[in-house]
Amino acid sequence: MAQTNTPGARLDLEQATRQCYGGPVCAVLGRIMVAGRCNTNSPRPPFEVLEHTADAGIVAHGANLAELFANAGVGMFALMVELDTVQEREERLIQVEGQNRESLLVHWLTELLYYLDAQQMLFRRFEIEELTETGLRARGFGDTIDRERHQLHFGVKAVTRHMLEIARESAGYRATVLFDI
Amino acid sequence: MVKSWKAVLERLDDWRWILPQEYKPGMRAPGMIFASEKMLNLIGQDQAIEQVANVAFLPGIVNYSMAMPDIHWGYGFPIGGVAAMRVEDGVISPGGVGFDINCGTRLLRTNLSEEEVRPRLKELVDQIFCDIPAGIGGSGLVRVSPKEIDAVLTKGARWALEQGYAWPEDLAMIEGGGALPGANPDMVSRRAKERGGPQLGTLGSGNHFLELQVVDELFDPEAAAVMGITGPGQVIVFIHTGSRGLGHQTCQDYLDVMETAAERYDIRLPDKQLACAPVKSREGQDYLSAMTAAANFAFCNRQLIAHWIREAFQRVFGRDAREELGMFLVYDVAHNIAKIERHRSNGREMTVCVHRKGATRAFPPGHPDLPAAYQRIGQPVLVPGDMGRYSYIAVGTQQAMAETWGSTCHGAGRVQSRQAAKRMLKGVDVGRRLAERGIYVRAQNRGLLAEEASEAYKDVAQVVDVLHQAGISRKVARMRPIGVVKG
Repeated sequence: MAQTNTPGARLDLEQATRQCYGGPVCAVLGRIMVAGRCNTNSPRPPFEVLEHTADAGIVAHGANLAELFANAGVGMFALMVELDTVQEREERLIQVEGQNRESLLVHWLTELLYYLDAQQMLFRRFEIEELTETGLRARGFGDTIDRERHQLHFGVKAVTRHMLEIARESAGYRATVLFDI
Repeated sequence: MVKSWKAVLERLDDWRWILPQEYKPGMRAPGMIFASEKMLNLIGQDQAIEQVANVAFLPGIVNYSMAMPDIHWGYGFPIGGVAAMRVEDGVISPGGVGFDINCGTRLLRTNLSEEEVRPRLKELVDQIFCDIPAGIGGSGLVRVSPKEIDAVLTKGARWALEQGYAWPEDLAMIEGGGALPGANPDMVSRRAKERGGPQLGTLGSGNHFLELQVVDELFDPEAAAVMGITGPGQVIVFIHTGSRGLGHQTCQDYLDVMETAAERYDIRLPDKQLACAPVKSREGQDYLSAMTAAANFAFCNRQLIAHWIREAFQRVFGRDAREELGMFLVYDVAHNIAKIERHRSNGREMTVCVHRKGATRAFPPGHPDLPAAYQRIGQPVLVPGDMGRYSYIAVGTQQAMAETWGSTCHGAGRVQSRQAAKRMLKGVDVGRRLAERGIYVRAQNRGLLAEEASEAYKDVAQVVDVLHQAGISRKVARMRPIGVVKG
């Protein structure tokens, strides 16, 4: 079965991304699909939605790691809310640590879920102020939930480690993250 | 490519398939999958069976790494997985419980018939939708201080009783009395408490729901009568939710702890998400006490929701929920949990850590942990289906005790991704389609209804039938929804 963490499937994913980028074509990766979030103005969309039978995920792209982490954060919120309905009215300073890049990514996204659950924050943009292999400091911009204004989707319960990967790609970096819905 | 599992699995009978221990070097036990041949084709399409093999690597596993017919791919453990590890030399794994600790189901009965509810159905569902926060960012109607959260984590549904959100007889009808012993709030992080605090008494989103259902068939009228289920036409309330952000964060916190622990104790695993520690180790005990605390939070969460549903019925019908509407709790049971239990296996008594991930406890008649009312019939098992079809009540059996550590299935399981369901139902107004069939739905986002439509799920009837035929849990009643609240 095709998996994105095997070299062969990685090609499939690249191909799927290209196809997706070029038009509404979606490629099946085993039981996982990359669905269109296509942006024809940039070489890579900031993120794409990964389909999964039981849950959902994203493939985020970035020219560098800071952009990658920011796009992964935006991608996660895009699953939960129509981002166009979120304004930048609030700001939060977010700091996390991890044992390595992958664990840092899980902690970063989990910390954003903390702000969502504990403070009702919906983020639509991030500025990464500092990023090392094991630490991240960022500013998040968005708004607290208002059901009148925000078009909400389903909630993300948790950031899983399944298929979790940060990899180099031609134009920078790619991160694959699956969420528990 | 879909692997041909039939070449690997050994058929034991029509409902049982053995995954030989030799399938993968490192397996400490064989696997056993409960399924019909037809269902096996569907099950084989994702990596769930591979995950059954992976779970068999865990130290201390006894008998089999088991899977129920609603098995599907999960994180580490498959969803629908059951595994027991010896306490003396076995492990406990957060992946064997899942992120939504004590996600579970609860059933309230009523004295009302469908004819009585129909004329007020819309009003009733609207009232429930209005009273019980659902969806992303729903804040509960109770505000708990950090100190009170600790009381919730220790006392579970008993806290709700003390605060006036429960009837005294509710507690006996909850698994473990709604307050599992051994919970330690100090082992739950501040982050987890801050996430969960505002969410006490909220439904959440995804597959969580509140449903008004009508009993439409009895398979065991005698057992049904003991539960106060009288016959076709009776309206009942089905609740499905868990421990919200508090549980999710607790799982996340301990996955980190366990990853380090697994290295320290030199436990070799085929999948990092099976990270675990010996049950008796400090890490194992810390997780167990934190997970138990989160489970108590979930019992309390479902109790608060049930309380507001009783109030909504009272308001709409102008009758007392207890004396006139008879809205007693039939049962409340977890389907994502790990518990230390006494079992008898191969002729000897043993204490094991039973992991039920997407599996429901199904204790038999006469088990000391069951309330007096159910001693004769066995523990009620509540199995939700999808919002367009039906749900089931079953009871546990001696066979389950002998074979599956007193466990059975938990639901239907998805067959279609959310995106695929949306594509398939593009242009279909799922809410209207359900309304045409007499099912009134309220959802925070109607666009999400397509993602939760019947087409996205397996047929739960097949799941329940396999376990009935295998003697693991006995069917008692089937219900169909008439009112649905979704996040």
